Amino acid sequence: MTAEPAQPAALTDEAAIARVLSGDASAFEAIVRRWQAPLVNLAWRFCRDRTRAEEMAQEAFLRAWRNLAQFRGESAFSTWLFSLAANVYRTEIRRLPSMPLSLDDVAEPQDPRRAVAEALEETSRDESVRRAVLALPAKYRDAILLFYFHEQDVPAAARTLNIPEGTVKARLFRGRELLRSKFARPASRTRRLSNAASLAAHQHKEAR
Amino acid sequence: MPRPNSDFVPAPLTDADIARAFSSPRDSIMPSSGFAASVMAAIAHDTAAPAPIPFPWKRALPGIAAVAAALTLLIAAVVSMVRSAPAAPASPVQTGALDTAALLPFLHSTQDTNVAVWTAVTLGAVIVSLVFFRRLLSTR
Repeated sequence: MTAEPAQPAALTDEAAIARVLSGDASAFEAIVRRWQAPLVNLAWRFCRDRTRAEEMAQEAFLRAWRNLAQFRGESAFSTWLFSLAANVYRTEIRRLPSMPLSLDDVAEPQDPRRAVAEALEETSRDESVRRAVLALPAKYRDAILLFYFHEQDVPAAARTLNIPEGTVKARLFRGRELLRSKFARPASRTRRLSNAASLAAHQHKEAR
Repeated sequence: MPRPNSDFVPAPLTDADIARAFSSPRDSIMPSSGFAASVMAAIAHDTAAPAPIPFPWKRALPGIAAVAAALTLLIAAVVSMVRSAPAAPASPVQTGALDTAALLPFLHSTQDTNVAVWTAVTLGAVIVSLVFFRRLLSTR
């Protein structure tokens, strides 16, 4: 009885890498299938645009494919892959910002009707927080995004960003401070509108 | 239930708010069904693409060496010019008497000695450039 070649999805990362490096390009599919969801989700957190997130994730996989020989196995493959992907995403976002907003724009959009519409359509506060994080300076934005992407694991975020854990903690602290200061402003017109929208939604729910 | 009054202000942002914003199920997406196939197609395309043409260092090396030699000659010529400058007669402009007849000996003395060098360097640079580019463009 001869052993059949392993299906791509059944291969471990190490086995898939070995096969890819020995010339079997199709083995890379196991890596893509295993890591596509995390990589697309990480990209989504950076850009908030599904199409662009998939494009960015594809670029990350392509980069991983081209540089696979540089993976020495000194760390987990996922660490290497996330680090590479985060670099790709940061470069992409720097090249073409997904949200041309400043932190001020997040709290006080120019068109109040738009703010109301957004507040009604989305979970306004969560969405405001996400938008505010994307409007932070890159180093704080990256620390917060990676920290929550890794389910609040500082060492994992530090490995992905390739910076010391202490730096991640400092950036998290400063980033949160910036967010808090933003959301702690006196009730602006936008906030009142947002509150009104939340209240309207709540009353609508109660009425039903 | 929140009350509809004018001084209604939401609670300040907490770490829990931030965590909720990023950990709620709404904050994740599933890759589209064709994503993996699309990545593999891109990889197949990448594999099929011809390797980038490397710079022809072997062909370029003689040209680079010739340019370097020309540059060295140029620098040497400039240095020799600077060294020989004090031997030249004082410029009539510096002496204050701006006379065309008085300028001629100065011009002759500064130019005659270097004209040949400069002409040679310029011709050499042109020839080297021509040879270099012909070599680069010629088929193997």
